[in-house]
Amino acid sequence: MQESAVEASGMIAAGEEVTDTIDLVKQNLGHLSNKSSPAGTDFEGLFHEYWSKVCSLLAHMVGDSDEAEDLALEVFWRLSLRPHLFSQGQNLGAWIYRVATNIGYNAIRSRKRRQHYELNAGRDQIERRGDHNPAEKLESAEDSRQVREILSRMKPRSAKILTLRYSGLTYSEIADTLDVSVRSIGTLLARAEREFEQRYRYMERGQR
Amino acid sequence: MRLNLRKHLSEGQLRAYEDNELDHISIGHVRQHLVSCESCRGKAATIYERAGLVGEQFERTSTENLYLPDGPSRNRLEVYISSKEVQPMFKKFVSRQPRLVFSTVLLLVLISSMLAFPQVRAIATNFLGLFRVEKIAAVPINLANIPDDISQAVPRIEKMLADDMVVEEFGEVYEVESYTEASAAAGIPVRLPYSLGEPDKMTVQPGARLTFTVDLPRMRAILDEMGRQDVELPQLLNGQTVTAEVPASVTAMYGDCNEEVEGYDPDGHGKSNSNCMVLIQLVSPTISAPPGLDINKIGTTYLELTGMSAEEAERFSQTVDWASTLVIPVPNYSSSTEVLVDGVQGVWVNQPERGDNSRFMLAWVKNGIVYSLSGRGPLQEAVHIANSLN
Repeated sequence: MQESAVEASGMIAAGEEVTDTIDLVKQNLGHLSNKSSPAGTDFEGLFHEYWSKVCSLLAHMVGDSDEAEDLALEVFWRLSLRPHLFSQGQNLGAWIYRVATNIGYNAIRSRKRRQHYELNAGRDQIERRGDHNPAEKLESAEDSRQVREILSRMKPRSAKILTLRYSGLTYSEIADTLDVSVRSIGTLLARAEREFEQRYRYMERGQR
Repeated sequence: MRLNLRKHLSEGQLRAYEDNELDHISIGHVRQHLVSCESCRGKAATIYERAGLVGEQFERTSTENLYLPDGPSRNRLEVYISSKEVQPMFKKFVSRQPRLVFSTVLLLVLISSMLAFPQVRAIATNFLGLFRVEKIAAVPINLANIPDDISQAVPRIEKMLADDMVVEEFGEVYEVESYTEASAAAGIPVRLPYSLGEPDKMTVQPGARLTFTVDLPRMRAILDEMGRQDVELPQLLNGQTVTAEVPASVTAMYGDCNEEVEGYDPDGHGKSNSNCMVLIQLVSPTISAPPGLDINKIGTTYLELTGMSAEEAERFSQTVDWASTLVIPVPNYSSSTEVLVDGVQGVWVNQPERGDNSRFMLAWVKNGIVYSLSGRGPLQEAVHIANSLN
């Protein structure tokens, strides 16, 4: 009799455990596939909200739309590998911008890539668009190349803050992305612009 | 940002003022101060002129693409994620953190092995089955056929199974100076291709062991979520263990290989340098599992989970010796072929990329050692390199 009671209570406990486990499983499975949750809280929402922004930001940095898209794919691929971020209440927008600027900056810093861009980026873009005024466009591509050249030589944080700001991010978004105080953004931005101008003038002098 | 009206304004304050990023009170203070301070007005003019110059330069870097998030872009991401999962599979298989591949394989093995067990059968607690990779084969898979819930479920299931899985890593990757040192560390006579000369870098990755213990209630819940309620799990399976052993591996790098992109960081940047060639070699990994396993059933189920129909899986399964073959799924945008390499049958997987810069992996097993050569270039060149192993 006593044994049966023990057995029965054991079965109940095991049953509860199974129910708990199933609930846990359902909760976990719901995290990434919850299509009805608002944009920004699941992978699809984040992709929809940030894809264009990330592509534009990276295009600013690398100056080549195909390359920008490839790098953006890399950003979202990395995000897809980190389901735990979705449950930690993190600012995923800042995470996405941080990874994107890191990837973009590494791309333009790479010596090989820089050489490749210098030779091909402007020309490819012009050919792809089938422009009617290639001389003017070539000049524009040269300007674009110059910006990337300057960014690749700047201090990482300065290059990133310029890219983020001129891609349209607010001070608050930049602060979250770079993990610095929002009150320091004005100073950091002014400093970065000064460095940019100095390098720009230096480059201009060298070309004369 | 509160301001002292008599104190000169900082560059940061003026810059934030220009961007309308100050609070209302601070805006009023800056405005007031600028009216009365010529020095700050001059400073502000310089800052705004500079910002104008930088803005103008950045304006020229914008591209004309719209980058709409729907449709093609989303599809491209799907293909990209799939290619990342499949293409570096071998690298992950021998890398420091083989969790994803291992746990996926183990999960599949486990699920399938349950299918093979008659409920009434007593299950021995010791491992009797031992499988060793002796051959490598490629199986073409159509990504479109893979059920969404399977591909999405794998990482989540992996997370849930973390408690049941023990990964023992026998050390961090380290660089070695010579092939003698590499051979001693990995316990194999390391072979290098003389056609490539001396490697630029050689590393040893100590081995790892992964042990999975079946937690029946959890497994039932997972199968339920995967829509596989048809799979019956015998109670005796609870507490059983499956073990995978990956021996130490030696990686030889030639050319401009960034360590981050060549497999030591599976989360790392995916772009590889075009002149980088990587040769990995290790003693064949083994998987130990409970006895009585219907290995053909495992293989067939594995193929079904990668998107094949039951008939196709059955047909392919009959052509493979599952007890000794590592089957690499190759997505439909890549191609694969069997080749004679290093005197044995190997597999060539080719993944086209933009331009003519295709990426390849050539894998084969000889004398109990698995080799993988990856890089960019044509088949003939890869085979030539592989045939020059001394």
